[in-house]
Amino acid sequence: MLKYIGKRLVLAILTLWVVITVTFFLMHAIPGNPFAKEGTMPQGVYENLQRYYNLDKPLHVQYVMYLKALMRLDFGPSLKSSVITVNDYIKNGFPVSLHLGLQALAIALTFGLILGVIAALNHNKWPDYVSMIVAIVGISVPSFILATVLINFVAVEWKLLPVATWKTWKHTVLPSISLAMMPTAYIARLMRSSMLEVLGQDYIKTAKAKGLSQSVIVIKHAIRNAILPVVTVMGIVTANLVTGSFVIERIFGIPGMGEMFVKGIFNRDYPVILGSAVFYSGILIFLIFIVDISYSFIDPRIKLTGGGK
Amino acid sequence: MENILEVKDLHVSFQTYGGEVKAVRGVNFDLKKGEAIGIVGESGCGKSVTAQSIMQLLPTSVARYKSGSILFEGQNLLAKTERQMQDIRGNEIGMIFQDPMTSLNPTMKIGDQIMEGLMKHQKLSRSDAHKRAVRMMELVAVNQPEKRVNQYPHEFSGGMRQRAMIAVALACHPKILIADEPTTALDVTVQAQILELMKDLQNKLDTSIILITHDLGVVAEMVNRVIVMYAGQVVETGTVDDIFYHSKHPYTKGLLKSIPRLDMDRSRPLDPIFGTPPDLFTPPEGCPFFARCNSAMQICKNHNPLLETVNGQHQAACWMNHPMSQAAAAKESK
Amino acid sequence: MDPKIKLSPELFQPYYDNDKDAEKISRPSISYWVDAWRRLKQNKLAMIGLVIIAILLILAIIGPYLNGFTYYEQDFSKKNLPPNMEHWFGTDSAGRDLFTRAWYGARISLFIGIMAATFDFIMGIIYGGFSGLKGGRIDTFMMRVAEILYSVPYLLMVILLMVVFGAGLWTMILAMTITGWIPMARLVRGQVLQLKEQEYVQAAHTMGAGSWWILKKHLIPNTMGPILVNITLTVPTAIFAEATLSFLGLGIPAPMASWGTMTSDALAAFLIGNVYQLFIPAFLISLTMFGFNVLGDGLRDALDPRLRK
Repeated sequence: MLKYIGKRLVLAILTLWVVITVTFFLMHAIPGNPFAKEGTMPQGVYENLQRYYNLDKPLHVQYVMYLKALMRLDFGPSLKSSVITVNDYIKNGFPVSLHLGLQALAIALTFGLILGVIAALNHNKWPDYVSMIVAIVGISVPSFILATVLINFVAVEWKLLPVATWKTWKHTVLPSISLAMMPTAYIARLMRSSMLEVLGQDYIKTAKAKGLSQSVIVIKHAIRNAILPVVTVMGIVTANLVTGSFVIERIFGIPGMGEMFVKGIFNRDYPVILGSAVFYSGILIFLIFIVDISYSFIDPRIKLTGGGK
Repeated sequence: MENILEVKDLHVSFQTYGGEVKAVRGVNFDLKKGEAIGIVGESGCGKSVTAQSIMQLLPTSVARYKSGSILFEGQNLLAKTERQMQDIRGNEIGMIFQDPMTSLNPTMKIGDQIMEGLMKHQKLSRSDAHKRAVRMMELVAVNQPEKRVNQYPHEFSGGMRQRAMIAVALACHPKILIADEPTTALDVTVQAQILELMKDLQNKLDTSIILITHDLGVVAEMVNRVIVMYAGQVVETGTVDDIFYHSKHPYTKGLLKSIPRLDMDRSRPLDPIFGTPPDLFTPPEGCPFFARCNSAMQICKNHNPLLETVNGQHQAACWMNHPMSQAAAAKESK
Repeated sequence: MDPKIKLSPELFQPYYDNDKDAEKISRPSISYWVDAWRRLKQNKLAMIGLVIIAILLILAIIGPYLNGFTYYEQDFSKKNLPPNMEHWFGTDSAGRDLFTRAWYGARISLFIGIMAATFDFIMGIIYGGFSGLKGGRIDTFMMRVAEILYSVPYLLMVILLMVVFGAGLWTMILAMTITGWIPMARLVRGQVLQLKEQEYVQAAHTMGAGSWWILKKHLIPNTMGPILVNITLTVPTAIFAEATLSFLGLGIPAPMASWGTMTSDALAAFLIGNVYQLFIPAFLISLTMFGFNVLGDGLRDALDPRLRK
């Protein structure tokens, strides 16, 4: 068990290092100088700026310095502001994004699992068709389109819920729904096929031969086993939620990490792009690590084999 | 002795895309209290479908009970509701399946799987059920039962899993145990142990057993009476002695001849039954074994023989047992 | 015994017909692809998907020439027109014909989707095939590398690459391939490994089947199924990623159009009430996603021989 966790941890750290390195060198491979477009900057100021951001040093030195700073969880300064650091951006934006993400994840899991189970239990009957049409529409309509439509009707035309900014829980409803749509559909489809497979297994027949009622069989035997594949993709689902939040935060004007990342892209504020990319990857890799570990607790078969899937 | 189970003229079909598969076509047999019977036949002959019909485990979406009845202690199981069946399954009739590797829930402790039925049918408390589970594990000769009940199926070997499976099926001391190919997936040495265990438990618990298998060797060891099925019908039935030494149906004879034996001349090839069973989408009008039978007669093509008593309990469905056939054979040999 | 039978001694004469033909198999065996196609045809939803894709492809080819306008020609006297006889889908804020732009956009979007799927396929076959065939340490190492790369968030990497290389059609395809080939490689490798072990392949060898026969009868049907499904599902993923990128302002540069850039452009018009400008590309994206997704699902079901009835 410990060996398994250790192996996963090493892999996670390695992945994070790859991401940091790739992102770092990518950012520095961009032609031109970040300060060049400020135009008629006096030579002295330019040199000071270069020194301040360590841009005068060789690239590998900068890389080592950046890694060292990251060890102290220091993401460095922003190019566009002398007072606000990337850390400040993260400190302000991350709680908001986390809130949005968790809310969307809760919606996606709840509805995805319910839809999937209902569809599987009524295989090839109308609840199955309805659930799967909902799911297919869910993955067919991009979140930004759904978001725009929701804003237009629910918020602007009917004035049911407020949007823009992030104040009361009412502000969080539409963004969470928009963000949750895609993962809901994905989880529903996965849960359906997984349930169908489990329901065809011999041990379900055994449970039935014991005289258990349909509901006990479904809850204690089928769902418990069918949910395992869903757990394995939770890392990916979370990744999609996070990247999906770039768009959602922008549309709804939510002051989260995604909005900051997108702004960084528009402003060509490289430390912000680099910092948020690294932070995002770190969070994601951590989440995938957690999912892997928790999976080994949920599935008793993993403990002994020590790693095999 | 009284009959605990009577299957009368059972017809079961499956609705598939290709049409209706008539899997069981008029099966009759009975089971007495404390008796062990064997249902034998090759894959697809309807033996498993018959067994699952008794428990009504066939998928309701495709399986149709066309006609007939299954009387358990005089009550027709086919007329019972799902809820009434739940009180019978596991409680009055237990069942074990072919593959112990897949028949146990991989994410549930063995003990819990044994306890489920006890808590449902006998309303035992968790701790009482747990004690019973440990006792059941002891009964099926699993070492260290206290420790084993807290383990998961993957920690058990194949033979041990089948023992656990038997413990699950017999937990509530059902009156009938249906064993659907219980030893097919196991090593030969383990097979013998499992059969020994079942025989032992049959005596201890006075359970009636229906053993379903394609392996005549297994049948010979275990049961009192044998039912041979072919293409959804019973073609011969009788005591082990009748079937093995006085068989009156060419299919049964063929099955017996195709078993490799130690005392056989090794240079002689095995004697298989050529061909495949008929397609049950459109079962033949005549004898289903006609196309593969070496002794087929004119009548066999269009007329399906019925089960006729040969003597005592021994019945066979073959035109060769008809007096006119015997007369014709006698004339031929003259 | 049926009392209606008139029993006569003749009926009990031996039957010497050589046509009894015990070895006859009652139903003709159906080849894998014919069978798969037959089952796909039965799946109404998948057929709808196929028809949608076909229509979209045809319109992508001929659509831009149908009404005599070009995708870049601007006419500021005809801004933001609703659909009319001259401009079938209306015009955008620069007075460009939306009908022509929609099908020109279809070309770009479908091209990106199909190209991304093709490159993923090629990369996946090479990497996964090599890894699977070599096996052993090389395989372990290559799969570890793939696993690490796979943990890198997809859209995040694409965004970074787009920032670095600058927006453009081929950079977008490249960016998608760089991050997108891994699932395909894993799939191919898994199939190759499985096939090396398969008993039916060995069985076919021992029964004297030639290599070509094995390839045709066993390997291709058993490997192509999942791969084909994966390709089908990669196309909508890439189209979706393109739309998201364009929405974030990292899409194809003007005056070229894709559905993503059209959606993004239409957002401003949408907020002042020109709903149709957003509706058209949004609908087309959703329709394409729908078409490919249901076709992919249908293929998965049709190609899985376990479901063969």
